[in-house]
Amino acid sequence: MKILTLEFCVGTACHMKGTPDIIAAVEALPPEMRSNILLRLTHCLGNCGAGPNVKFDGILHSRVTVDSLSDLLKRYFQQE
Amino acid sequence: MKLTADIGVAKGNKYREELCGDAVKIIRTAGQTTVILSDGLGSGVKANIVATLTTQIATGLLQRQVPIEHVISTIVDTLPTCRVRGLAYATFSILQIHADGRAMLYEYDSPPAFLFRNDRVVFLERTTRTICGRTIHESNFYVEEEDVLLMVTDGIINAGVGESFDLGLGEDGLMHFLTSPCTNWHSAEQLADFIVKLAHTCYRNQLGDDCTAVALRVRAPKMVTVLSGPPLSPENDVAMVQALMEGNSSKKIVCGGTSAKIVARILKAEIETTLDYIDPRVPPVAKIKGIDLVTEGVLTLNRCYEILREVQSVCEFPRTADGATLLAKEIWNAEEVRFLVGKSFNQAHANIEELMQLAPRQYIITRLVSLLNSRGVRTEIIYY
Repeated sequence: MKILTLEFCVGTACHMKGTPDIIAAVEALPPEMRSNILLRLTHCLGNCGAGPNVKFDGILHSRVTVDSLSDLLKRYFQQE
Repeated sequence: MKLTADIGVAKGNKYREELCGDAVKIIRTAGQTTVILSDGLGSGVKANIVATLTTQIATGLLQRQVPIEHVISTIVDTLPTCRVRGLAYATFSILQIHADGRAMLYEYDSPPAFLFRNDRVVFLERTTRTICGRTIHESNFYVEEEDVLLMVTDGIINAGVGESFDLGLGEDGLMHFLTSPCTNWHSAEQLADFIVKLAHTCYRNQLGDDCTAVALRVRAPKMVTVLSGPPLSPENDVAMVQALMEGNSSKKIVCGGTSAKIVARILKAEIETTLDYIDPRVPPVAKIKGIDLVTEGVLTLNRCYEILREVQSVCEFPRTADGATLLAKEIWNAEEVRFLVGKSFNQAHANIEELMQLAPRQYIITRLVSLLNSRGVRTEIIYY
């Protein structure tokens, strides 16, 4: 299976709007899913007003929540 | 050449005591470093109070530029004498190192301080003076770069008395341990820690007295340059980064995500953000080749200010390696801090700062600067 790259912004705005919770949720994913994810952090994705920002497989997603990311992940892994 | 000193302090409380009966105070001004070490008679709360009182009186007077002779006479005059033992309640040592290398040491009833040069103990000639009926040992000498000075309380000198050693570790025993090739330490902090650990060993982990070690390592002053915030006009990006990179002897720190991107772009380097969320209050640090430390901006600066405001000595720093602690340590060790501050404001931060009661970048840097100035650190702010 292709490795999915998730790039989380940990700049001030995204951090305050909940990036650490979302990262914790990714870390807590079942091992079969987690092992296919490459987690990376970055200091700014340039969209501070609409954080938390996540680059999901190269595409920028804004105002991400634990639930919305979990939906994205489910859809991604079902397709794969 | 100008000189200053790294200072390491380590303490151990007497077995079953909650408070340490020794007190240490460090005063740094632009021209000199002063260390005051006091050992209150006995242990526990009484010893702690008198030792603290002694260091506080000395600090207060020295900060008001009162000559050292008057400071000593005030302390000696004020110190009560124990009715039972007929001794003063607290002993003290005051060491002053001037930027030109001149050092003055005043000791009242405390173990003699040691000077190590090239791994050998240098004998310090002492003269005695009587101030208010008490004998003060005084020593004037010059220090050089890489010299190490050591001040300890009698708990260390008497370590293991009647147990590991008949007469305790003793000055010679301590010197023997410190100059032996198997003793490995690199910083003042490590040396102080090592000595208190040695005392623990001699006392078989039940300290028979309060133990304090203060180690000073003489060195050339350190300079730190902190770049934070994007310039108001992007045209100034290059000038700001050039100002950061000039001066090889200065440590280079970048605080802020956008700032890090600007620096990386101009230096044509990659930013590599670590994955460690060591302290949930502070976002992880990053790496850029050629920069000593890269952190997030406003949150890290606010937390760094909190740390620096609270700590009085190196041993009080949080034992974590989060961005704010790393930044605070770098600033703590510096004698000169230059801030390159970009005035551009990230609108997305406005609500968050208000909500979290965070001080905006320029404001927190101003507060940091006044805190550093009050501790004798030279500062400069350049706005872009």
